[in-house]
Amino acid sequence: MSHPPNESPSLMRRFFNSWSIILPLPGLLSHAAMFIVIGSGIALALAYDVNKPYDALQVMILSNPGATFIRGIHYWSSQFFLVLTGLHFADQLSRNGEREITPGSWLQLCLVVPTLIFLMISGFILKGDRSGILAREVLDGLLGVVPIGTSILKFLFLGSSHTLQVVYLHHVATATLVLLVLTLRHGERVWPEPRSIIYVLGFSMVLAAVFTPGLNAEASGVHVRGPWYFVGLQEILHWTSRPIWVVVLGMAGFVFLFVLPFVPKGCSRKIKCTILACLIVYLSLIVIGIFFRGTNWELIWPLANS
Amino acid sequence: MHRQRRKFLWWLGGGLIATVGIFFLSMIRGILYRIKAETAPKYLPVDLPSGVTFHDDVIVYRDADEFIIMSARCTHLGCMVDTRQGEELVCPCHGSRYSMDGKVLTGPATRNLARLRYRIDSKEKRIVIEPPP
Repeated sequence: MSHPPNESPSLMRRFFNSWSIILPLPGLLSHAAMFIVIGSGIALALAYDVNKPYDALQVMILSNPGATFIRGIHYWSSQFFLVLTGLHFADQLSRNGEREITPGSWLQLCLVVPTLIFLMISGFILKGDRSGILAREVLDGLLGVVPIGTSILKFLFLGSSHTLQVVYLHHVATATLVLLVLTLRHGERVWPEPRSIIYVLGFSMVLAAVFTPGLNAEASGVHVRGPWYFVGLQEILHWTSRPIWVVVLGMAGFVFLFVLPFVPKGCSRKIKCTILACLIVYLSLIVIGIFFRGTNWELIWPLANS
Repeated sequence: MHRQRRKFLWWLGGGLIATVGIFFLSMIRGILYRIKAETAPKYLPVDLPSGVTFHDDVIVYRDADEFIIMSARCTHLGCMVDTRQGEELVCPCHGSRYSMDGKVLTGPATRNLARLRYRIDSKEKRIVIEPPP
């Protein structure tokens, strides 16, 4: 690959080299996942009621196994999409792929990260259950700490507080279109590779059949957990009284990612190591939040409550 | 041909400006609605039970004839404080705890729940809660 002949490949390169022997590359799988998410999302949009989201989903879960199965595929393929996009970034960064494309293309790819995060969290909000409502309030609060244009930002992303209309519009149309524009030119192909579709769809179908994503079961708890990828953020926010630092760090992370191709290789390597270290810390916080955080916000041993 | 293309582009540009204009108008309308909703007075019945009761974004603590009326918005990040555990109010998002009269007990919040001004409308037998300043 891109490492010099006398230098042994890094652990990450060895991981992705082994990966490519068994599975299609993460980028191809991620491309396939995106199409499955969009396809299943179109089918789901028919059954969704923006005025009574929770009721509509409850009726669907109770009375329509076909739609519930499609919702399961939508959910699981979106989780795959998130993870595979992360792995695709890691794969490309480990081989200095960011230096092989134009600055404009790299900026577009960096913008995929906030777009994807917004798509994931808006999907979570659209469940309309208590955890979805609270996720919306947290997002509203985080936009509220931005010093300028707070009202416009809040309305632009979340709309009026009494309806999910704007969130729904962004989830099914605006953000999805932005994502397509940002990614399709990069992939240099419109339709995903058939083998990747089979893998992602197969795994999503199996998981949808076995684990049906439900609505919030802890409706009266004093600790409502966010989606797994935001549990780390929830932990950070639990420990900090100044949420503005979370916004500042998020923006700093984006800037560091964007400047990677424009700084000397040694510096770029250090930034990558820092990003990797931050990611490991964040993943550890997710593990703590999921397995060690009790229903009463106290730290517990895993399975202590069960 | 050239004139036709120019005409088409004018129409296209006009349409685009109109679309963006409509979008911004609806956005301003939405913001005004939001402000209006936040600044409208709220009404609650005066015969509330003793102790704590939750009413959307308002918490009422009643002790005999004394009322303490607070915003239910957590002062940390604006989540709705809608649960009570023993003698404490708990924010379900990040675990801030408040006493029954809204004083912060444990973080991450550092400020007490905002007290809301109110008056008793004895004629209509209701509490009129003024919007926060």
